[in-house]
Amino acid sequence: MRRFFAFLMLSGAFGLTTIIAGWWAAPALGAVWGLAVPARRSPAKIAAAAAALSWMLLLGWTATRGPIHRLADTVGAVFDLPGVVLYLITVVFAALTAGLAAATTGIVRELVRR
Amino acid sequence: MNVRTRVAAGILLGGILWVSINGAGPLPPVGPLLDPALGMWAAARGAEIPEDAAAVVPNLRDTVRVIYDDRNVPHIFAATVEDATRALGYVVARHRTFQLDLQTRATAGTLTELFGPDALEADRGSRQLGLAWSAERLWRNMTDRNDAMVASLRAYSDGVNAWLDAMGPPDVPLEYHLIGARPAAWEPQHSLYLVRNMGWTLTYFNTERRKAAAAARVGWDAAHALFPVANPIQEPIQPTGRDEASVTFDGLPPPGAPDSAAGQLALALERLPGPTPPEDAALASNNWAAGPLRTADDVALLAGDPHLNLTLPSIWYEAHLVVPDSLDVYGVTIPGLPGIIIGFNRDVAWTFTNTEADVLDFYRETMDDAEQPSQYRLDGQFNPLIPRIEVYRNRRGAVIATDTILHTHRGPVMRAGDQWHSLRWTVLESDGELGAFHNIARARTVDEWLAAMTTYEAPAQNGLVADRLGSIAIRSSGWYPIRPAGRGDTVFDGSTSASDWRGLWPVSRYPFAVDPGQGFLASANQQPIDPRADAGYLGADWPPPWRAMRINQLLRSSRTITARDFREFQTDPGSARADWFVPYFLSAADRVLEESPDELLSRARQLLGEWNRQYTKDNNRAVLFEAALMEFAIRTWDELSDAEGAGPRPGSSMLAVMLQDSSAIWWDVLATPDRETRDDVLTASLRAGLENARADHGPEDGEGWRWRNVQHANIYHLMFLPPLSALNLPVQGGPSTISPSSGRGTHGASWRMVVRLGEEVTAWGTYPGGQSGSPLSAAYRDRISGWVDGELESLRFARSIEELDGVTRARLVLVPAQ
Repeated sequence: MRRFFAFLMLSGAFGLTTIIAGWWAAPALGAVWGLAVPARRSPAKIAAAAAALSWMLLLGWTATRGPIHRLADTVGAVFDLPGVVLYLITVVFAALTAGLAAATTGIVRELVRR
Repeated sequence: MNVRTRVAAGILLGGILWVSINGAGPLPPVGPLLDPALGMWAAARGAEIPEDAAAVVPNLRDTVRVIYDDRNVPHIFAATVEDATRALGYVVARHRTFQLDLQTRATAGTLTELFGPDALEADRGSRQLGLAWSAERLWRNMTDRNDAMVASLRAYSDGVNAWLDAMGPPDVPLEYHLIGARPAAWEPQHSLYLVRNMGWTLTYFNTERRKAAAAARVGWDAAHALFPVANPIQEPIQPTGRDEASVTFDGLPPPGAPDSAAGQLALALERLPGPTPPEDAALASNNWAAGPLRTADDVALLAGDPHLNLTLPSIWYEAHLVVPDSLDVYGVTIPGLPGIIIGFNRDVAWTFTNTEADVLDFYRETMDDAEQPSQYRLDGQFNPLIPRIEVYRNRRGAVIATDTILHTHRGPVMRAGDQWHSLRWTVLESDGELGAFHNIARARTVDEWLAAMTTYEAPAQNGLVADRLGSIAIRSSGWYPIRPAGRGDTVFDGSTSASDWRGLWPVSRYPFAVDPGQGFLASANQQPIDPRADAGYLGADWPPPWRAMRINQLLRSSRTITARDFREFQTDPGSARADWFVPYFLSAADRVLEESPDELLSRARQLLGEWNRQYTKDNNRAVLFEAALMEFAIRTWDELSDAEGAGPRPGSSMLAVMLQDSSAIWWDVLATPDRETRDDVLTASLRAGLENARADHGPEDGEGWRWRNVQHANIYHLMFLPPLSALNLPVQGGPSTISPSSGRGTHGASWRMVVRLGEEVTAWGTYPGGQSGSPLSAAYRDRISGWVDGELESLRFARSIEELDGVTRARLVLVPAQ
């Protein structure tokens, strides 16, 4: 339960920092999470999942404020992609940058520990 | 996770971050693009303007209230004209940020700063012509004068920048996310860039090139006759008192020997840098007005129908400006210009068509050095060329190219092969346009409007005006150079000042008419004045007067014209061109069929005979006429074509009057051993037309022959992105009808307006697009379906905010900075 709560907190932090700082929040907060959490607790996976969830929620929030599907379809068509792929790419991008950043900075944590 | 895996993760992350920041190939920086809060996705939140908003605008004197009606038209209620202008800048930028920026960059030649080196050639063309350079020079002169127009340009700039400065992530237009850029700040002189840009669109016609290309193949005598100064069919703007068009045609001289020097000249003219509009992109604007003599309820009616490049967002933006006791004007502005260009006030309505005058000349210069000149020869001595350094930068501000552009006293010099030509062009020298637009909005009578237009300089326009007193008038206003040779459709010798312009036409000589006996006035880009009334040179190779003939035919046909009639005329499917040519095709076919049976010709004659000469969407015979006429032009002008069939082609009026001479040598088809006559060519063209139509559109009774499947309007987004465009829209009208959708459907009726000047002014209008520049907005293309159907919408010319109560969509309050 505590882990789940921590996950939600992390996800909220991703969302909040993205609103304030933009897309850099995903790799930056992922990196911080990788430094803070030991490898045995799979920080990369958790960071990836939390970032993905937070960006999904941000997209959902945007959907309540404007024609997000029209945007996805229009921009998707510009790149010859179905609109739904654009959502997927966005969420995967958040997961990848957060997860990879957490995995990479984990090295630093381990070096410090040794 | 082992170290190797973590290192791989680091490398992958580095790659992703690099693409996120820098982009890759056609991809913009991916990070900002995918950002759900501050990036592209945020554009969805800003798709529509909020119902209530407030903003601070620097230098505002008093609070300005803006009411957006249910058509998204802003009605600006301000205390001063300058405040109204500030508000106009703000509301235009709010809806059209990307358009403002892109148009300015296209004129300034700074597209590379948005799109990178791919845009370098386009930028070089713009800078070579010196559009922005001349606008900057004008701005320096204006600021010295510091007159009302300077204040107006500064006020407009205040408004645009107030919006740009306050723009949040949802307000950044989608296009910027797609290219990974941000809008540049607006400078007051950018409005002048747009005036120059319009000048380029409407007057950069290289009339010399086609004639030189013709001379290269058939000699100068024939070329002058094929591309004459005066159109052989006269239906001028200034009424002649005749009830129909007059024809002046004395036959054509036979094709002469090819002229190799003309060929070199044509090649040089073709190579001249600078964007040249395609020859088939006739803009096809119309306007007409009827006085009480012609209208059902004894009031003046006016119709405006400017045809321009169709784009999304539209070239026009609709607005209403109200300043108590000073200004109450409604109409369309061009985003970037601080006022209404076409529209009406409480007393007067006006509109324009392009005069198509020749206001540009090339001079072949003699340089001191063919490769790196520093001086040009004039009257026996060398004079220094004035250099202008142009620097091109990429998105990051790094220099990617530098050009030195040289000037003679006439204007910029362009190199084409081993020849150097300088350009003199009224558009680079004019400075009175904005003042004229500023003043005509306040006119209360036709006379006042005409007086306000006396300062208008370029691009030359046929200004049509009507007032509530029932008066109507038209004048072709603008600078018309007086050439020493009496004509300007040739390249002049630059080595002598005797070639230079001798001045400009006085306003009193401009083609003009007021309250003519016929009770109506019209223009459709045709030659403005019959050369028998004034033989002065205004231009050459004029567009054929088919549209003017049709409009005048419609206006002459009734003395009880209504506003509804005017609205229907704008998409009238009839064609004076078809009325002219079809009888010749049918008669020729009849004569040939009398002598010998010919199944293909007989069928083609039958099908063409069934045609009612209307280009309605369901018509299934117009396609045959167009195919036959195309063949007819190709076969007739084969003397001008090269081995690939390419070459200059005279206008359809020349082809039309040629029909009077059934045995001219020009009918002979060079590829056959026989000597063809007119009827041989007509019937061969009809046969070939049927075969071509079947090949291109299927069997004659199939759907492929329906005009709706042939003629389309294509409204491209400013970046030519198909998903942001409206393409393949079936429209009524064909080549040379009042609404022709020319240039492969990329040109057309850019603003349709009808104004009834009764006790109250009532107006209708529409344009193909919508008020919003955001492709995500419902107001991006909401007017297109009505436009396609030829429907106009009622314009809300409210006197007060209260009058808009039931139709208010959004409110905006602009307040002064504390």
